[in-house]
Order: sequence, then C-alpha cells, then structure tokens
Amino acid sequence: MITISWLIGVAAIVGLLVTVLPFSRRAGGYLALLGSLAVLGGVIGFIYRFEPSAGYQFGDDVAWIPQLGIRWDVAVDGVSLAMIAVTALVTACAIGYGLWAGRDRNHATYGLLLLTEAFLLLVFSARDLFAFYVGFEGMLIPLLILLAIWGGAERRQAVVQVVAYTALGTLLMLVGILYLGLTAPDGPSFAMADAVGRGPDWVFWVFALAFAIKSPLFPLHGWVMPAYRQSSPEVAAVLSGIASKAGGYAFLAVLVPLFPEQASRFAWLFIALGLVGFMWGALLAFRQPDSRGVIAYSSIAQMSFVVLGVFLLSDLGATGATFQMVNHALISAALFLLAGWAETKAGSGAFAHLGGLARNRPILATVVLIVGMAALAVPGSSLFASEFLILLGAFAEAWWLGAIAAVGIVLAAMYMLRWISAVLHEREGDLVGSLRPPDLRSGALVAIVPLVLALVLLSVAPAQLTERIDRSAQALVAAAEEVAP
Amino acid sequence: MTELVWISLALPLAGFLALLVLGTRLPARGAGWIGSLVMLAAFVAAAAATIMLAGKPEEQRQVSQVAWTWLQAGNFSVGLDIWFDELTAVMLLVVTGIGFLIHVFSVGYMQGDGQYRRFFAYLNLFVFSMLMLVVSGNLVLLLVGWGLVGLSSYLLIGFWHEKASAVKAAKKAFVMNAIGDVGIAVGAFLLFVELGTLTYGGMFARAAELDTATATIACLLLLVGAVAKSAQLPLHTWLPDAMEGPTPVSALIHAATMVTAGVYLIARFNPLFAEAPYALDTVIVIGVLGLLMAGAIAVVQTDIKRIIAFSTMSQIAYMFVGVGLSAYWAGIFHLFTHAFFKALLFMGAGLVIHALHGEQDIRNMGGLKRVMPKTWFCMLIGALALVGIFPFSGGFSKDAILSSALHVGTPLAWVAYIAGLVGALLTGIYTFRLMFLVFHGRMSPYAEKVAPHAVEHHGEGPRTMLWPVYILTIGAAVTGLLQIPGVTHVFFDWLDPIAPGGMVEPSAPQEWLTTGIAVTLGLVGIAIAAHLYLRGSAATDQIRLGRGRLIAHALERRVYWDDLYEVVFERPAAWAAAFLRRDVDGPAARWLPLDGAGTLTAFLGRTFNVVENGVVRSYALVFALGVGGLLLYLLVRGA
Repeated sequence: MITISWLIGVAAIVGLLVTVLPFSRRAGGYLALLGSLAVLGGVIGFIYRFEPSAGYQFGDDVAWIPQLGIRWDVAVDGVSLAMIAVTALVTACAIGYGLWAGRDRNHATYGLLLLTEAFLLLVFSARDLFAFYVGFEGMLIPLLILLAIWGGAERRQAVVQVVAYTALGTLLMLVGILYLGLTAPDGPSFAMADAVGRGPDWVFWVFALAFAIKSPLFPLHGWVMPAYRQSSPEVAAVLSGIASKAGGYAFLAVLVPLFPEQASRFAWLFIALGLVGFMWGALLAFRQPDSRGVIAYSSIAQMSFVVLGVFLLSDLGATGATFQMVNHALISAALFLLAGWAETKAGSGAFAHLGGLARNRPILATVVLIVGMAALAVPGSSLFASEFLILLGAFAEAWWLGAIAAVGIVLAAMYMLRWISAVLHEREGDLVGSLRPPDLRSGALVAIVPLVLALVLLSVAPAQLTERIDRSAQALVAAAEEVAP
Repeated sequence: MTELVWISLALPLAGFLALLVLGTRLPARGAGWIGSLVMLAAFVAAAAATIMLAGKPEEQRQVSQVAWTWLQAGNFSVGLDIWFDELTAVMLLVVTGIGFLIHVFSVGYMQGDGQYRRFFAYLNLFVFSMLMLVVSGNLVLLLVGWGLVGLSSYLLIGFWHEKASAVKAAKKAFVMNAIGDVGIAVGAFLLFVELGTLTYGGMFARAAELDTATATIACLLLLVGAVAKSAQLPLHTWLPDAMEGPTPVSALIHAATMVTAGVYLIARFNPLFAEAPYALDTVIVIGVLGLLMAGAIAVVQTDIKRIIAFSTMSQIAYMFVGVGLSAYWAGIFHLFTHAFFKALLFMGAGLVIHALHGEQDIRNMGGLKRVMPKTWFCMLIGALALVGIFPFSGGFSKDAILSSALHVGTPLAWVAYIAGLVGALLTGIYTFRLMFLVFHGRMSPYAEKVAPHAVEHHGEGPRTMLWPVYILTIGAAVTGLLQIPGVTHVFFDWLDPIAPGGMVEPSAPQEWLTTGIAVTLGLVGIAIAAHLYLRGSAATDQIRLGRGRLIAHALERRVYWDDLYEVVFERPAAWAAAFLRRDVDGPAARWLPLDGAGTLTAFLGRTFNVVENGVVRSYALVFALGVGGLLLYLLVRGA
C-alpha cells in the first residue's frame, strides 16, 4: 500500500532531480508537473481510503537516527489529510502556472517548488518532533532560493526580512525540541506521543513563537508584505497558500496536544491576538494600493481567524479552523495566480494602472468574481461554512466573543468588494491595453480552474470534508479541552 | 410533491449554469428566452406543487425533506433540506410567477445591450437564490439564500459596471446587507446554543422552552437581517441607490421579491416571535417610523425610480406593521398584492424610461399620456392599487393590516393605526404627483423632443414588454378580491395553519370602517396632488414642496441618514485604515526585525561574502551547521 512516505519521496526525488540536472525549461517543467500530479493522485487515493474513525493512517514508523531515538514516524489523520490534499493541489497548480504562464522560468524553479512540497508534506504528517522540525525549517530553503533568485526588484530586502523573522523563531524551537527529546523518561525520544504534557512553559513559548511567525499571527506578520510582494506569482501562491498553513497546522496538531495545560491556560492570549489580527488585517487590506497588498493583509486576517478557532479548544473551533485553512489555501493561491497574471502581463499591479478589467474579458471577470466572492465568505461558500463553524464555536465559548468576531464578516465584505471593483470595474487603467493575450487563456486558466473547482465542490458539500476532519480535530484538542476550567 | 419543489429550485440554477457555460456561443435573444422558459417551467412546477399541497388535509401541509448533510462538525449538523408549507407556496408562486413576467419584460428592455447574456445569467442566479431562501428548511440554509440574493442583487445593481455610481451603489447594498447577515448568523448561534437544532421543525417545536429574554434577543437579531434586506430603518439607505441597476432588476428584486424577504422571515419565525412580545413591538415601531418617513421623502424626490423605491420602503413598512401585530396573513397578503402593483409600476416606469432614452428625471417628462396611453392606463391601475382605492388590490391588503391594528387596540396599535392612515394620505400625494407630472400637464422640452418620435417608431414598447405589464395590471386590479371583508377568506384560511399561536383577524365592520377612512384619505391625497401639480407646466419650483424650508431640505437629503453614516462610519474607518497603514504597520514591520535579528542576519550575510543570494546561502549554512553540530555533539555524547 502506498504510504505518505512514498509521496514525500516522489516529491523530494523528482524535485531534487529537476533542480540539479540540466533539463530544458519545458522538460524540467513537465517532469515536475508529472511528479506533482503523481503526488496529487496518491492523495486522492488517501481521501478515498481514509477511515475517519481509524486515527492515524497511511503511515511508516522506522528508526531514522537510532542513537538519538529519532524515528521516521509519519502518518495521516483527518486534519493532516486535509492539509496534505490542499498542499498537493496548490503545488500542482503553481507548477502548472509557472510552466504555462511564466515564459522566463528556469527549470530549477519547478524542482524547488516540488522540494517545498516534500518538506510541507513532512510537516503535515510527522509524528516525530525532529522530523517535524526538518520539514518546518527545511521548506524555507527552496522558498528562499526561489525568492532570492527569481523575485522582484527588492527581493534582497525581502529575503533579509523573512530570514530575520523565521530564524528567530525556528532556532529557538530547535532548542525546545532538543530539550523535549533528550529529557524523555526512557532515553532520548523525539516521538510526539512521548512529549505530551511534559514540556515546561518556556518550551511552549518557543514553539508558539515559531508557529506564530509562520502563520503569520499579529503582531509577527512583518515579513509577510515584502515576501508576498517580491515573489513571483506561483511562489507567492505557495507561500501564502500552503507554507503559512504549516504555522496554523502546528498550532493545532503540535502545540495544543503536546502542551494541553499551557494551551488551555494561555488560550485567552491567542484568542485576543487572533481577534486583533483579524481586525488589523481587514482594516489594512481595505486601503492597499494593489492586489498583492489586499491579498497579503486578507491572509493575515484569515489566518488570525484560524488561530482563534484553534484556541477555542473545542470540536467546532478545531474542525472549523482546519476547514478554514483549506479554504484559505485555495483562495489565496487562486488570488495570487490571478493577480500575478494581470500584473506580470501589464507590468504593474497598482489599481491606478490596472482597473476596469471586466470589459471584454468575460473569463477573467467570471473567475475573479467567483474567487472574490469565495474570499469574502458569501453565505453558501466553503469559507462561509468554515467561518460559521469557528464563529459558532466562539459563540458557544462566550457569546460576546462570537458576536465581536462576526463583525469580521462585514469587514471582509468591505475589502474584498473594494478589490473586485478596483480590478474589474469602472474606468479602464492605462496599462490594461498592453495585456497580451487580453483574456485569461488556456495555460493560466488551466492552472487556476482546479482551485476554483475545489472551492465550488467544497461549497456544495462541505460535509464531505468536515466529516473526515471532525474526529481527528476533536482528538487533538480533547486533552486541552479537559484541562479547561 | 417535494420533487416538484426541488425541480422548481433547480431549474433557475440550471439556467444560470447553462448561460454561464454557453456564454457568447448563444445568440443574444436565445439567452433571454432560455432564461424566461426556465422561469416558466419553474412556475409551472411551483403551481403544481401548490395544488398538490392544497389537496392535502390541513394538518399534513407541512412537508420537509433532506437531500444531503451540508455541514457537520461535532454535535452541529445542518442538511440541505426544504420545508414546504402554505407560506412557502405563496412565496414560491410570487417569485417564480412575477419572476417569469419580468424575465419576459427584460427580453425587450435589455435588447441591444452588449451584456445581454450576462444579464439573464444573473437574473436566473437571483431567482435560484430567492427560491433557496424561501424553500430552505433550516436557518443556515435560509442564511445561504439570504446571502446569495444579496450577491445577485450586488451583481445586478452594478450591472453597468462602467458607471462609478452603479458600482458604488452595488457595494453599499452588499455591505449593508452583510450587516444583516451578521445579525442572522449571530441569531443562529444563539438559537443553536439554546435549542441544539436549527431546523424549522425542531426550533418551532421547542420555541416555548426559551425564556422571554433569550427569545427577544434572538428575534431582534433576526430582525437586524430583516431590516437590512427589506430596507427598513435604520439600514434602508442602500435601496434608493440601488435604482442604479436596470429597471427590470428594480421591479423583480427591489420591489416584488427580495426586499420583502424580511417580512417573510418574521412570518416564518412567528412561533419564535410569539415568545418575544417586545421584539414584535419593535417590528411595529420600525414599520410606523419607516412608512411615514419613506412616504414623506417620496413626495419630494424627482427621479421616477427613486420615488417608487421610497414607496416600496413605505409599503414594506406597512407589511412590518402587519406581521408585528401578529396579523401574519395580512402582512403576507400585502406582500402578495404589492408584488403585482409595484412590479407593474416599475415596469411602467421602465416603459417611460425606455421611450425617453434612459431619462429618469420627472422634470423632463410631462404630458406623456397623449403619446403613451396604454402605459398611462396600466400605471393608473397600479397607482390606484398602491393608494388603496376600492376595489383595487392594495386597498384590501393595506386595510387588512390597519384594521388588525384597530382590532388589537393597544396604545402602540393605535399609533400604528393613525400613522397608517396618515401614510395613506402621503401615498395618495406622492403616487399621483408622479402620475400627474409624468403623464399630465404640458410636455417638457426634452420629452417633446424625444418621446413622440420614439413612440412613432417602436410603439410604446415591444410586445415582450407590454404583455407582462398587461398581466400585472390584471393582477393589480383583482388580487384583492381574494380577501373581501365578510365575503371571501381565501388568504386567511390558507395561511392560518402557519401560526400555531394563532393570528389576529379583524371583524368585517372594523375592516369596512378602516377602508372607508383610508379610501377617503387616499382621495384627499390625490386631490392635493392634483391641486399642486395638475395646473399648467411641470416647472421645477412646483415640483419641490416649499422650497428652501427646513423640512423640505431634510426630506430632499433623505433625512440625513446617508450623511450621518458617512460621518460616523465611513470616514473614521477610512481614516483608521489609512493611519494604520501609513504610520503603524508599515514602519513597525520594517523596524522590528532589522533592529533585532535582522541586523544579525545581515551581518552574517556580509561576513559570508554576500552575492545576490548570499543571505539565503548563509542562512542555509547556519541551519545546516547548527543542526549538524548539535547532532554531532549528541551522537558523541550518546555513543
């Protein structure tokens, strides 16, 4: 039977080969695409075979560095499954987009995207803290190379920012992991199961710091703007769509189950930061001069909402947060590909130069409208469904919390409507005429449509996803929920 | 029977998808006819379902069915389910029936517009959303329909998206309705936490378990949604701006169907409102204030569609009074007749606008009766129905509401009664001000130049536009006869089972007395309008009521609600966003890391002889060295 290790292996090996060997642009691109589609196929198999009641599945557990008790222990539960599925889909779309829409990509870019996927799959399936760390830290290397070499004009500054923030977080986390691993009662062990409830407060905090930076959680979101602005569209899609989910996932699947007592004790702080970050991101998104700005700050708002959901430490909150991450991954990836398409074709993403795109562009207008409406969580959309779960969970926790957070619905409507109008409506910008081809055509369209279709399917029958997530999410927060007074 | 309801719901969705996918491959007219035929089929299905429902004994007329589980987590679960009862049937018939007529009307009205197919796709999407709203069997799905009608309303108001004013109006409508959505969502949270279910059957069966405070809060939250969607105080300011959309949209969405959803919501949740008397009183107060204010504002407006829009707000306020008095049948009855005569008035206005090449200012009209006699006649019937002149439809339904107030007899009900009668006077004035200024008197220079010429060429409009208007005219004339006090009780008897707590029903003498007073006041209003506007030319200073006076100024500025919202919400929000962006978030993001770890990394980067990507390389190196070193140390120690 195919296990998650196979998928990680395929992504890593194909990724490495495409990066290192001197392929042509096309050959490298198609090989990488094939690799990402193979992973996607494997994940679809997982989705069918998944048994919601069977806990961790599709796993391997072998000794990796036996002297230290480090094991290659990977497995998939419902929450992991959701994250892995969306990772596979977004990666495939990003590679497809780079291949068909970006004419100047080097073959190595495709390989690096696949390597990022391999690390991310490891993050989402690791049951061993050291393996988790390798994935969490390792994914940054291909991403940073992509940003540093193929980024925009101010990429250097962006790389410095990203490194400054993440290095701060993850190196401290490594210390925490080593502490947990080496103080295990029966000799060194990095298994997550052995670390439950053992960590002192400082380890909780270094973990939380690393995850908060990655998420990004207010007020540690400073690296987001330069990184999302300077990346090429497909890298920005991977960064905001799936790489940031490592943070949100880690809060739910690592921090909360490993530190139930602290998670319960300090939940109020994360809920408060989530609320503030949500408002903060929404307000800032409302005044950005270009698409990337709007998407970046709306991402901050959405991920703050995820953190809020996780720290409700309830079934509804955890399931809603996982579902929210899936939705946001699809939406922000689609938004970045769309915005990036117009921007790279026209030479500027500023609304002042690029408005009124709806005229004579029925396909672009339709896709932008669908994604925009999904992003503002119009009732009936999948994002609405996930926000509903989180808000209901918040309301069940404390009525005023649910009521305040619900105001976000209005804020999201405000900034997304402004974005839709700025892109599609009113006066045509002066650079619009230079778009070639004028409307979304096969290449970029084929890369974006799967994301849109996934959103539509999740809107029609969100229960198909939530019934797979539900039990696992419940299990992850169960211990912390019990501690709660 | 439920299959027919599903079919009725699915057809407009299928039409929308077909138009979306086929797109420009369809001939323009074909798109219009696909959209219209889909609506006709949906109407037939709805009518068949209603007939089957009527054939059942009364206690079996509440049918529900679940298609699949829509969303589920923990103990929360909500299905894609429908609820079909007498109230659903009325709404279903109104939405599909009037919807069909307006689709046909649009075939003519939108002819020549480059975006013809998109228009019909959006119209079908709207109808699907509206049907979803009325057939939904639980509060979440109702909220889905609620949000989707808001979405399609947004798309249709901003249909001509090159116009900045249209885009602004569309956004305004969406945001104000999003406030309403939040109200309903929070109401749903409260009800789920208290009752553990959100299906109608489950909630209504357990409504009595709620204490009064909880029930009141829940109902007030639902009321926020109702107020936003139905353009009632204080969330009404989007409706007049929504007139930026094409006229058939105003007829369908902003007169006959979507804006009445708030009334439907209150009537649907009557078992809950029965537990919350204060919430019902609030509904009445909102209705009273709204019907007077909107009626007064309508008297001074100069845009033909905005006059009708304020009239709509005023008439929905009557419906609010009706359901607030627990005379749910009367509120829904008025919703029903209003759908006919208000759609008729909008479509008549559409004919006028069509003949005048898009002109909407009544100061540029006048004397059109001579060139457009058919339109004049139809609109006259609509106007009489709106004012409530016997025996046209609006009178029966409005007087049913007012006489219910008389029957209830509490102080608040008396206030509602008197306000409603004053409202009848105002209705007479503004309605016939419009009729006289548009159709009577001397033609304005603009109308003189355009209208005779246009009518000579095209007649008063193509048949696709005229026939729907004729049918609505018949409806506006006769639907009131369903409920003649003391004679027929069709509407009351049909809707009686939806309110387990019972409904208010006035006696026939109360109704006839009210009708007498209301018709007299309506006639007085018409006389005032005739006195003011029927003499000579339609000069600007005559159209305005007491120019320069404080009240007139307030009314022309729509009682300053827009100005208030701008000062209280829009400007502070824009200022806060700009301030955060410029002075807090931007600088902080740059400052934080660079002074701390950033300096360190930059330093490391330099020492590793930075090239373009030096920082990454050095970072990877630090990472690898760090991990490797630690591993080495541990290995040595562990061995």
